[in-house]
Amino acid sequence: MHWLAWHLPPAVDAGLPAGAQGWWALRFTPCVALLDEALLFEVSGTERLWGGRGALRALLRQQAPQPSGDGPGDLGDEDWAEAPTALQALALLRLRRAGRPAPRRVPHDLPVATLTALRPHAGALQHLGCRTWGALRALPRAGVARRFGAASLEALDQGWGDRPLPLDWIVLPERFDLEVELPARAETADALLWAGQRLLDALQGWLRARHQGVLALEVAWHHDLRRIDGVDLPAWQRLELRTAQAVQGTAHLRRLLAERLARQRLAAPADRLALRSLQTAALPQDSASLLPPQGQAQPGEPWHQLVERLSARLGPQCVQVPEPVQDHRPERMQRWQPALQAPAGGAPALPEGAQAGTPWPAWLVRPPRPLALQGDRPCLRGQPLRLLAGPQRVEAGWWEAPGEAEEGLAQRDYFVAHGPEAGWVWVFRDRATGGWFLQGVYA
Amino acid sequence: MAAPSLSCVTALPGVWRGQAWADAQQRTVDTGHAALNAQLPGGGWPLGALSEVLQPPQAHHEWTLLAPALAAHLSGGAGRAVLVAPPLEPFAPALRQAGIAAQRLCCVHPAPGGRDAGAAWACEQALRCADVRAVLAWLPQASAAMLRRLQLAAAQHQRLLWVVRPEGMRQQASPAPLRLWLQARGDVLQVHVLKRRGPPLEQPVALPARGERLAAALQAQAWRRQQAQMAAWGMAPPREESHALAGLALAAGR
Repeated sequence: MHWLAWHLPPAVDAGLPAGAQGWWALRFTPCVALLDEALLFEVSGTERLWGGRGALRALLRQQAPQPSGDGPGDLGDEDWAEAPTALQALALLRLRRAGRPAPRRVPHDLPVATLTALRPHAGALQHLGCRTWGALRALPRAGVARRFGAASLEALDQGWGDRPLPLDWIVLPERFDLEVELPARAETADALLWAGQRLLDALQGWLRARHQGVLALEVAWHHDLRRIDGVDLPAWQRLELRTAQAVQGTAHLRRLLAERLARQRLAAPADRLALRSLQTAALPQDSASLLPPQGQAQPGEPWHQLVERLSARLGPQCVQVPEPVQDHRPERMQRWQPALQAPAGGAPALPEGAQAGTPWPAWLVRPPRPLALQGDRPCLRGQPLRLLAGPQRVEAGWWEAPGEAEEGLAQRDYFVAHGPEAGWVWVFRDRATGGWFLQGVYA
Repeated sequence: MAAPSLSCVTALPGVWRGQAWADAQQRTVDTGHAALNAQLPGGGWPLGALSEVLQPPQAHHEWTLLAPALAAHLSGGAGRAVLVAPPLEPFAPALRQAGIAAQRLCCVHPAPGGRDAGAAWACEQALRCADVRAVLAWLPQASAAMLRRLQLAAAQHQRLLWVVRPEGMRQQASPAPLRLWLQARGDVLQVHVLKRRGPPLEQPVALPARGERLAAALQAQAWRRQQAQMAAWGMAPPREESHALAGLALAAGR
């Protein structure tokens, strides 16, 4: 048996329930428990899986949550200890936290005050001249049990490893659902972000332990006030975050949350924040390759993360991808849809139709701009246009009833026109009304 | 003594003689226009650098100049191109004729105003994305500081980045290593190289101002009109020839 004891930051600091603070360690071993102020876990069963005790120690130091306020990687040696039994590891951790050196012989020379059960009797034991675990163990057991209670003797045996120590193991919940009390009332959405980061860190620990990635999250905050300006407020206000591919790292989620919160107006000050996982998916574990990777992988974030971030800040309607449509009317030949809803591989390309030879303009004017007439010639920017090629007749849409969404029958003659100011443009004459319109620009 | 020491210096990476600017050690993308390739350092659009394209405010010569390079750059692999704040709607069938698949394009329309800060932000994010191979942005009001940020981002991630700006900006300093100024003169698109890593270029490069298909269509129409006139004057019988625009009727009297 090999036990590690990690010091937990005070609960006020993190704002998380105590159990959640141990989730990160469940990735490394299933035996994780909270005892007093420390997180205890047993690693002898799993250390081979992680490449030995030294490698596991390095991994743990790297992945343990950093105490807030300190910089990254600032985990000191006084924050953890290891020993053959749980109580010895805890005692060593307490000595380290107090800044005292570890005794030469463990557990014989450990001070009695490092055992929780002996703390009430520390004064009396001091008067007896009994300062260490070894000295107390050397005393007659019956007398010690009568004087200090059977519980202290039992704790000593457990610390020595003679008796099993029953611990309340931390179990990972099926669904991630955490609610924290904010340290101060949040007036703005930005203030929620700090607590949101703590919750996301806990989510990362939960996901890692379950080997899953998150697809959809719900962030909710509780309003401190029930009514404001005579209007009833809902108790909770919610926000949903979605991502196209399951992620475990919190960097992308935190950016998404920051963008969404920056656009959010709080109806009232919030006093509680909750984070729930709506949809998770198993992450494929990629195996390491023996050979160096072929070609150079482009560094940077994947496409869907870019689309999600741009859409979160600018709005989904502002990030668009084209979808080709079979139609003869130019304005119907493509449809722009939000990139968030587009299929991953893009819309399928249409076969090149009979109009392959048509010189299309690279720019489309939507909606077509009506042109003024000089005599019977269309004008653009005050100058008459010369029609150079055409007409190309388009007659389509007779199957549509004219209405708001559909314009119905379109009867047009298209021409390539040129003007000294306007350059080469694409204009059409509506045969129903006789009006001229600009619909494309070549250059 | 000077000559051997100079040859030592020019052997260093990133150092070259002034005359040898055209084969500078830089990754480039073929522009698709041979005349322009000859005048650009490295023989093409610089990869990992900001290329600034200046043109008159109402003109739209971007696709004529950029479409061949963009099509070639997108054709290999699975990259995408991001268009930031395009002034008009790109027409997918025309771009497909130029070789650019519509599924590879993504348009970003940031909220106008703020001196293009939103558009510059979107550009920078796009440059960081692993799947984006080229960014084409219209930033009429961007400041030099924004352009410098974009230049650094392009250099860091080795992306193709074009920024289109109005020609009034050509007197202002810019961090772009390559600046081109486009002017249409009839059938010719004059490309003035305002700035490049090499000696200044006095004479503009002349490129065709129209795409091949448009030029062919116009030529066909002109030929048909000429034939019709000759037939009307009785000088020569009109010959029937199949042509790309055989289906099109004459522009009646225009």
